Amino acid sequence: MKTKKHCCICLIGVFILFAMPLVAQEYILHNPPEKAQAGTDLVISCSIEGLQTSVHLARLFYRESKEEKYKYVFLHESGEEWYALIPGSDVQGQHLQYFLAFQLQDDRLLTFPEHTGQIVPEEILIVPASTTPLEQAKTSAEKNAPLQILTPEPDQIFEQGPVLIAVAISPDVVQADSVTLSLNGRNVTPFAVKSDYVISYEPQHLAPGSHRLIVTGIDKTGQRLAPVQLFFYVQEPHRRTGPRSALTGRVFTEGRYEEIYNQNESFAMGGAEFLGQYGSLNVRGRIFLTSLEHASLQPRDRFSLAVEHKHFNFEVGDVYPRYNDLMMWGKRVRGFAGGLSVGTFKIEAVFGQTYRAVEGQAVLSGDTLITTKSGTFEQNLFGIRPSLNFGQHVKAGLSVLKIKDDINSITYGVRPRDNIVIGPDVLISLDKGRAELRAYAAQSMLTLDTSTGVLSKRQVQNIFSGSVNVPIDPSHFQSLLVINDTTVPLNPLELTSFAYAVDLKLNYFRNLVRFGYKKIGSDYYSLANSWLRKDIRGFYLSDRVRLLQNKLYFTLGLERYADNISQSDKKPSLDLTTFDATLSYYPGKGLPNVSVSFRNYSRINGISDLGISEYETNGQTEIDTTDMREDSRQRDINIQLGYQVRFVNADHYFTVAYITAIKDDRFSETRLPNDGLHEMTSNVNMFTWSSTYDFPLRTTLSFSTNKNVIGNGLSDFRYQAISLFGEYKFFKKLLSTFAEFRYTKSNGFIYLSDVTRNHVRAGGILNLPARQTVTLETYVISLSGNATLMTSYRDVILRLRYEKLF
Amino acid sequence: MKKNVYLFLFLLLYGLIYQGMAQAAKEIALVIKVQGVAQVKSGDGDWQTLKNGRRLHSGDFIKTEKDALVAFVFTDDKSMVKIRSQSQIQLNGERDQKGIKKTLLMTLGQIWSKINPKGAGYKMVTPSGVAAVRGTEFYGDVDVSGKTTIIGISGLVVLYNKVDSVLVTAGKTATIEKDKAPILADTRGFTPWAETDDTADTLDIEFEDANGVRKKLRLKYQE
Repeated sequence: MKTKKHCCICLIGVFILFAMPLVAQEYILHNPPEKAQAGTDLVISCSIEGLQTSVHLARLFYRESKEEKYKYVFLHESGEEWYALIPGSDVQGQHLQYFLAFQLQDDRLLTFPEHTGQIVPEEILIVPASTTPLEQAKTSAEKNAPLQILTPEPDQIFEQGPVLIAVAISPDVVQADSVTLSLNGRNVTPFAVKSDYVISYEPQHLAPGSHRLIVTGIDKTGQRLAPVQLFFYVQEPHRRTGPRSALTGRVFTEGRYEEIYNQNESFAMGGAEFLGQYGSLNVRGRIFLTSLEHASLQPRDRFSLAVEHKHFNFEVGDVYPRYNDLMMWGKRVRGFAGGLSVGTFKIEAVFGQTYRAVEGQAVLSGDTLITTKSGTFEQNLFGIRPSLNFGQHVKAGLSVLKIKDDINSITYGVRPRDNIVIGPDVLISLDKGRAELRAYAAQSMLTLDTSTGVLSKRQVQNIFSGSVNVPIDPSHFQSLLVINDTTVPLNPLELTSFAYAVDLKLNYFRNLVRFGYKKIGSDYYSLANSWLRKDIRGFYLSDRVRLLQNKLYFTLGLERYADNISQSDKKPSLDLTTFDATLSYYPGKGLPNVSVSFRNYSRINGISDLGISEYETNGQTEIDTTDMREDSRQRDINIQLGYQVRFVNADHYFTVAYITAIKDDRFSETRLPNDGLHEMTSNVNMFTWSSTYDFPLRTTLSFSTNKNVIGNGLSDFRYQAISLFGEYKFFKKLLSTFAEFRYTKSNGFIYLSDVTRNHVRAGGILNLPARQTVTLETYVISLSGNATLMTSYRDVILRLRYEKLF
Repeated sequence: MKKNVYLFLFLLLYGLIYQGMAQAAKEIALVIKVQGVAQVKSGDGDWQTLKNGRRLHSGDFIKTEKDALVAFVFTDDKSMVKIRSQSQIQLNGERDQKGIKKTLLMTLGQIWSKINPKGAGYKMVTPSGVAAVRGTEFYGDVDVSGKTTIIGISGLVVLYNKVDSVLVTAGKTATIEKDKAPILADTRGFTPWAETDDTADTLDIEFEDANGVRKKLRLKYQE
């Protein structure tokens, strides 16, 4: 039964894995601005091409390039465009880094730049405000087009009230009657005042947010002129009255019923988050509550309140401090965090709980109490980071972290741990931030079990029969760290728990070059960054080039790491090499876009022989053969073409994609029987057709095929999938309804054969006044087949959600 | 009789069309911002309240009241002009192949201009001299005595009268009075107002004359 369950989970996983690309053809179309003006509000706009579902939450994350934390603002929809405004008070320093994140209704995440595990944010130069008039004069001088927008200026920000739109027409070139003004996709020419020289329109009440103006026309020879377009922004009312204050955020509540693999569960959640600004203070808060919260589990509720100022910040609740990439990078801590800057000196501190106490279970066996389920100790963290900030060019800090399990927090638990980590970091920024060097290091000590208490120097040396030299007496330092025979390393001078990393970033000639080297010792542990891969050494090198007004992206990357370098587990070191190259061209609407990527990934451990050992059993000599050889290479190729075209009163977006992965094993000919799963080929072909009609209908048709051959034919699995999606908006877009059907049929042999999966999703979103929405959505997923280890089942998910943005 | 009616209607229609075409041909600029009270007068007509979006024709007069500001752009090359409170100007423009040859008659007030270098030419005529401009940004000031001050921000302005001429470049300030040679000095303590649309009616300029003497000029206008 357990095997069946695992098989089903495996199959679901495979379906999800391969069905994801079916609906993952959208991309964010965004041309980053060349530069931003210091202290001036910056409008960022984008659109989503081929969107196949609704957007649930859209945010723009940004930071000054030397900051560690990102701030965010919400993106607002206006017609087909999305906009956000970064307050001028945050447009400071030398560079601004940002990325866009769209959380879709079906829980997928779209980002710009696209993320492959890690987002490399866009970076734009911040120019001093004083240079602006000259820049503007230059820009103005370059304008001499047949159609010239006199007002507004690109990205101009207006207070609420009438906005004058005017376009100068060159009468010798342009047919004046042919000129049209389109505002947010609506033809407003009938309301405009026209002459041979000027066409103007003055809407009295434009909604707050961004607006897109497009001007088209025909020249005297009958040729269509290149459209002229720009964006401008209308502020929220009272935005600039008194001390600058603004509050944005959302509140939501959601109820869910889930019936998954014959297990029923109902739960509710709700929360709120807000961003506020009053004068020079930024305030943000967040609360998330769920009925799944239970004292016997780790916290699922989240809450935090933060106040930030140029010179100080304070946060209470669930905080996610970032001190040093190696030591603590976004670990959740429930407690307090804060910082204070005085001149060049800054100090940050954090104190709180990383795990809460959850009691274990034990049974009495005779006179002995046996722990049957180990609990979780309350784990407390204290961190402090003093740093010096020498202007824009040099920052240096020293972080100290102390993380310790509270041994008294539960009765039935095993191996309470104690950890101390200390490390410096430095940032050197040159040439207006175009060249940046970051370096950080850390040394750790971890006691894997403090339950036996601290040992004296003699006790430790006795345990190791004098083979270990302990340079200090541990009992003198137990307030810092409980040191005993489970402490790693016992001798820090051997540097097995030392880690360091260097990152260099060069931003020149539209190239963003990154180089990094790191080495993490085999005994390096930071409980505040427990996911860090250790016992590894190597480098990465990447370059991202932006050309043709940021429409052409070319990235190259090379990574080379040696894993298991200490070989402390007697296993060989493994060389991991990855090369990848991506070329993406997004010329804009009306033109085809293309993205081609190639990735080569190899794993080589240097062992070329089988391990053969002989041993005696029952007087007979047996031979045991182990195969630790690893020399494989995997190549992934992804080609994707997209094209938007308009016909039959609709914008249609077509996507064709081909994805292939081939994994070769150098030793495939000499592998042991039943060990032939080292080679693999996988091919995916996809076609997607998304249409947005002039009336409020949006449809998507997708079709894909996939074929996987593993172990040179030992396993064969293939599927065909078709998906239909439709969304229609009623009552002037007050009610948006959608439905989706996905049919997947798989066949193959071994476990996965002749399985049919139907996925139905349907629901609606009611848009109420004052930016409120109510969402009702249901999923019904049924799977049937005659696979040997497969049972048919039906999953149902129902969710009802209320959300208000403010 | 019928013939006469047709002839009358034809002449009326022709007159209206001709008048419209003539008006359109004179349309040389567009008002994009009016703050405070400003008035405009076309030909022999009456003064009218100036509003945003008003098309300006060659020969139009503009005057601004206290704390007012008017911004307009020329329709050929997007050259922009802002005039501050208590100013009086007359616009003149003549279209040719290159665009509009612009002449601004300024009798009183403060002005900021940013002129497109690809334009057909721009002149500012004051009671004391002429500022000829091509592709530049500058501030101008004309006081009640007709004394004119030009402050160069970028590009080049030639300020002249029948006595002499000077070249005003970025960072330089020139003053000119009727029948006197213009004086050129370094610009000192000047706060640009056009970017912030400040409508205050005083302007402090500190400058050093040819003899190295520092002077502070406060320009203030009252009705």
